[in-house]
Amino acid sequence: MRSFATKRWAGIEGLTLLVVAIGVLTTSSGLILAGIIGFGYAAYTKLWDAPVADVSIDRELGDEAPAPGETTGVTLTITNTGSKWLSDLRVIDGVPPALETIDGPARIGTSLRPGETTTCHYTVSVVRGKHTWDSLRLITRNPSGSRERETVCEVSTTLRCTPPLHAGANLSLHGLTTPYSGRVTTDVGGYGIEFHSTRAYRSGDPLNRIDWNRRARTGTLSTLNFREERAATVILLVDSRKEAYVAAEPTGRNAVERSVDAVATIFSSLISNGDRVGIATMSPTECWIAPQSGKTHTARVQEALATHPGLAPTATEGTLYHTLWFNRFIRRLPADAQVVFCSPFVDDRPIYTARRLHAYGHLVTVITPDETTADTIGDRIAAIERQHRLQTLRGNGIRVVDWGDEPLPTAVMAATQRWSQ
Amino acid sequence: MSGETTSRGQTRQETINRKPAAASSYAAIFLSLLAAAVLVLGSLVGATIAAVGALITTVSVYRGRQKGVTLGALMTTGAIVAAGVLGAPPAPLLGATGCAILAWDIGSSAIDIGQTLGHNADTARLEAVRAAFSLFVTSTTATVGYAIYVLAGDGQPMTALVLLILGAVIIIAVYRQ
Repeated sequence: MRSFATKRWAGIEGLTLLVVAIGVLTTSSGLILAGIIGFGYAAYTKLWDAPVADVSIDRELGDEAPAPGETTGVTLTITNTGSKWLSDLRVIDGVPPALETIDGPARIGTSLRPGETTTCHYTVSVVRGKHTWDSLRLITRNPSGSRERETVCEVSTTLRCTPPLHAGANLSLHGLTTPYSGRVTTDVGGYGIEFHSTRAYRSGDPLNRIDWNRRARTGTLSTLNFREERAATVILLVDSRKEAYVAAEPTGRNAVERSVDAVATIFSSLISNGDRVGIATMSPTECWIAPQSGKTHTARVQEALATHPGLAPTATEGTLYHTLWFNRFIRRLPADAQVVFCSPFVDDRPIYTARRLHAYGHLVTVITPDETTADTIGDRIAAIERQHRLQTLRGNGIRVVDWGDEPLPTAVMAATQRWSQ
Repeated sequence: MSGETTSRGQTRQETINRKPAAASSYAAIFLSLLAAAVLVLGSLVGATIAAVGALITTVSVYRGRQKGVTLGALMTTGAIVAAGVLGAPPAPLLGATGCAILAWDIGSSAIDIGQTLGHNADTARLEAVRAAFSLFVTSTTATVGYAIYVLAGDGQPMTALVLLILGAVIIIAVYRQ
C-alpha cells in the first residue's frame, strides 16, 4: 500500500516562523535560536518515507487441536527480510472473532534492523469450532512519524476444536416412533416387557405369550400383549439466528453454545439407544443432517457440531427468511420424526416454529437455555416475557425443559417428572 | 431479552486497554516539567506559564487526549516566547524549547501507540527507538543553535542569524519538493 502523511507535525513550520518573527521584532536572539530547533524538526519530518514492511511472519500454535475451554499459546515470529531498517513497526494479529485473547494483546510494537527477528506471544482461550487466522496488519512509520504505510500480510493458521460426545442426559421421548425396535415404549401391543393387554387367542400365537393362568381358571385360550419398544426418529433443531446469541454475562457462554452442548449430549444418548437422530439449524447458514444411525453418521454429526458455520460460537451474517426456511425444513422432515428444539426463546419466532411443527403432527420437546438475569427492571421484564412464552408452549401440549444454571441431566430430570407421558 | 441482557453475538475479542504507553508517558510528563524548570533561569513569568502548560500536558497524557498534549505544548511555546520578549538569555530558552518539543513528540506518540497497540502490548523497543531519534534531533539542533550564538558573539548583527534561519527554511522547502 502507498504511504500517506499522518499530518502529525502539521503546522510546525508556521509556529517556528511565528516564534522567529517575534524574536526578530523584539530583538531576542534566544527566540531566533529556538527557531533553529523548530526548523530542525521541520526538516526531520521531511526526511525518509515510511519503509515498506518487507518481513516474513510465522505463526505457531501451542496446540492445534485443543479441547474446548483450554487455552493455547500463539507465537508470532517476525523477521525483517528487507534491506531497510524498520524503525517503527507495529504488528496487529487478526485473531479469529470467536477466540478470546487472555494473556496480552495480540499486538506488538518494535523496531527491526535488516535480518533481525522478534517474537510476540499471547494466549487464547479456545471454544468449539474451526478458527482461522487470516491476516495481520503491519503498520510502518518513518522515525518522525510523519508518514505511515499499512500493509496486510496473509498468514493462514487454522485451529480446530472438536468437543467429545458424552452421553449424559436421557431425554425420554414421545411415543411417536418408527417400525424398528428400540427403547421408546409405545402404546402398541406386541413383544416387549411391560404388560399392555390381553386378547383372544389366534392360532399361531407363540406359546410363551399364552395366559396360562386364565386357561387354568376358565379353560379359554387368551394371548398376552406387551408394550412394544420401538426406535424413534429425532431431529435436534438448534435456533442459531442472530437473536439467539445471548448470554447472561458478557464473558459467559451464549445460548447457542449451550444449545449445541445439549444437542451433543442428547445426540449421543439417543444414538446409543438405537434411535435415528439428525441435526438441523434455524439460521441463515443452514445445517441439515438427515436422521440416521451408525458410526459414520456419529462421526459426521460430531464434525458438524464442532465446525459447521451454522453452529459457530459467534453469529453468522445473513438474513433468515423464516417462511422459506420453515417450508424447506418441513419438507425434509420425515413424517414420523419428533423434534427436540433448542432455543433461548428471547423472541416470538421460535414459538411460531414450535407450534407449527406441533400442528403438523411432529411431537416437539423444547430445551431452552435460560439466559435471562434479574439485574435491572428491563432484565426482569425480559425474563417474565420468556416465562410467558414457555407457558404458551406448555399450554399447547409441548414439552419444555427450562435449563438454568444446573447441569442438563438435572434440568431434564426435573422437567420429566412434570410431564404426563 | 436480546436488548436487556448482554448480547455478545458478534465477537469475543479482548477489550484492549487503550491507555497511553507507560514509559513514554512518564518521559513526556518529566520533560514538560523540565521545560518549566529550565525556564525559571530565564524568566519567572515564562516559567509560570510553562508550569500551566506542563500541568495540561500531564493531565492530557494521563487521560490519553492528543489535543490536550498539543495545547500543553502550545502553552509552553507561549511561555518561551514570553520569556524571550522579557529578555531571557538564549541558553534557558533553547533548553526549554528542546524539552517542550520532546515532551510533545514523546507524549503524543505514547497516546498514539496506546491507541494502536494498547497499553499492555510489548512496545518498549519501539518507544526507545523513537525517543532516541527525537533526542538526537533535539540535541543536535540545540547544539548548532548555541554554537551559532557563541560564535556570532554579542556584537554581531541580528541579520546574520536571520539569514541563517532563512537558509534553513529554503532547505526545508527544497526537501518538500
